[in-house]
Amino acid sequence: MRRDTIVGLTFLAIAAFFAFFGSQLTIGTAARMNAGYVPVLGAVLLGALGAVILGQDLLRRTPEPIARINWRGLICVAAGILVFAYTLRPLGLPLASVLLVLIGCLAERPIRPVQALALGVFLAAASSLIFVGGIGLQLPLWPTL
Amino acid sequence: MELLDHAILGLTTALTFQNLIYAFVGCLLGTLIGILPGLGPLATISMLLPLTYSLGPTAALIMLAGIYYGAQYGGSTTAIIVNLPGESSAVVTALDGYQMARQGKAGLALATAAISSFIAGTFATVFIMLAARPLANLAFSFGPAEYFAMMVVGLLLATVLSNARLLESVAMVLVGVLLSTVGTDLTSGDERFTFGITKLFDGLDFIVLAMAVFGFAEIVRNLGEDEDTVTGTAKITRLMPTRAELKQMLAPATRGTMLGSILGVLPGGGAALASFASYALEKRVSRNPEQFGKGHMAGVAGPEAANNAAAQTSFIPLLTLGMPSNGVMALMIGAMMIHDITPGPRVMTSDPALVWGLIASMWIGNLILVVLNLPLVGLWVRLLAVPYRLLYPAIMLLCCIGAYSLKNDSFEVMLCAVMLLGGYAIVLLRLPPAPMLMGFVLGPMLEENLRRVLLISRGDFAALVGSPISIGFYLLAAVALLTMALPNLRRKREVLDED
Repeated sequence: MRRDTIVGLTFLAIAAFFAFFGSQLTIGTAARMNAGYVPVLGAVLLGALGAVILGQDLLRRTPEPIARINWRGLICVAAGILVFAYTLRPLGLPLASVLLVLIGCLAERPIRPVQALALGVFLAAASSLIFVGGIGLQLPLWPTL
Repeated sequence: MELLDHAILGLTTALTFQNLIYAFVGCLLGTLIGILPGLGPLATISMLLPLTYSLGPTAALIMLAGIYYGAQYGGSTTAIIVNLPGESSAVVTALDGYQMARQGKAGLALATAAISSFIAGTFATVFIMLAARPLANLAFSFGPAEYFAMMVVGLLLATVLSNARLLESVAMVLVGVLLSTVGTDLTSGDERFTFGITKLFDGLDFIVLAMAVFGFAEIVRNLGEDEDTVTGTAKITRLMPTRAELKQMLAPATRGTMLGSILGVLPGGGAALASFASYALEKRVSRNPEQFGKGHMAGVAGPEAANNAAAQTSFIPLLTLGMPSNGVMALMIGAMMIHDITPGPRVMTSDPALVWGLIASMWIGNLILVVLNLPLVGLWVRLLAVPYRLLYPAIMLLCCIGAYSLKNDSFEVMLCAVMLLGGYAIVLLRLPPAPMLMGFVLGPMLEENLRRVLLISRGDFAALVGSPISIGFYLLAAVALLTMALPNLRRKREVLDED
């Protein structure tokens, strides 16, 4: 699949999404624009552009390689963020931070568990001191039992 | 001369030992907090406002103003070092600033940002003293039609932010505008694209979007590459700019100051619009525009000057008319009322020491920031030498904490993970993210003003081109579009001639 084709299809998909759900809102008229007016209008314009890009690529067929997807990195980073989000309140900032760092470190090729743990503890301590102790952000420090 | 009296009054107020300390503390706190991605000036000021209760009104405002500029500086620092704009006006700085950092020129980029901001701050202070009244009146003559026209021009300029194809840039702007419609529609009260998720009622947050695209997606991309290509194998060159580089900075910074000073006065216009209008201008007048996006110094100098100038002139409607031009100014009004001062046109005459002292301390605040930040440049640059495998978890944690602090809710953090998928797709497909962010920022104002114009004119689209100001903006847009299209045509003709 060529890159330009994917780009065109992506824009068309986004446009279709907004157009479909936008049309379920009241659109109103130009004089009394309601909630759906701008989304649908924007979606139509985006769809037009997507179609043009797609059409241009089907005609020109410029071969452009797509970069390799870094699945490992993507999954580790996303998982790390989600784990942090879910464990922040129950476990408190330091523990959640350690978990985040540990999972995040799984993304790098030679996994070094000791280094990851050390980094996690350091960052957990530093962020707790600076952001909660120093600045006074409202982040839970201790696990809520 | 009256102006001289005001200036002297201002300086004597601002230069008292006490007020100097407060200015210094404000700048320091603002910088430190602005460095955290996700905590921009607005959040910082709200957090630190209670600290100022016990101070006198002048001291409180001076400290809050210091926090404001400090947070701007801090936001630019993270934009350059780790490609994480701390707030919307720093997005443009990240474009060329981060590239400069990757080429080992981080010190130069940071110094450029600090010095250009200082130049802008100096000019803007003088500008404020001279032109406060006429500028405020200018803001009054802007109605919804003019704002709409300005937003259209702004969005068109957003396409200049990247070197990608025009079609794709415009499409990304539209994606941004569409994303900005998510949430509760203010006018009708309908929920748009929330699918019943109550936490989406307020819409998506700019910071979440920026972090997902500029921060997390960038991390995933870097993890896929070799260690060497990530933080740049280029040796970190000297930290301070040479004489020649200083001279190069001057012109873009001056142009940026002019743009920022004017755009800052307009309510809602502000620093973000100013910074990328400046970027577009610099790209247009530069001798090597293709270098923009790859680490061109003017791409940092101009926008940084513009956003600092805009930040300062946004005080004008507050001081002259008692009208806030953005969220931070609204907080300032709150601070003034807490100290029993009713903001309005009379404050200038009833409490001149406050007004002129604040204006004078703006310049002093800028000076403090330069003195504070230039030595710190070495520290930040050393941060880049940390191996990436240790750095990226720290960035992840910093972003997550910042995202949580937006609304003290884990939901924003979860959104980051979801947006990361889209952000990574954008990075993989090499689509330009900056136009999307600009579309997201300007979208709501675009929609609101379009609705207002059409509501007042009862559906008559001709009302959009009613006034000279809006016609002027559209002409500007047409000229901009033409000049963007023309070089392509000329190049195609040259290619044809060669055959």
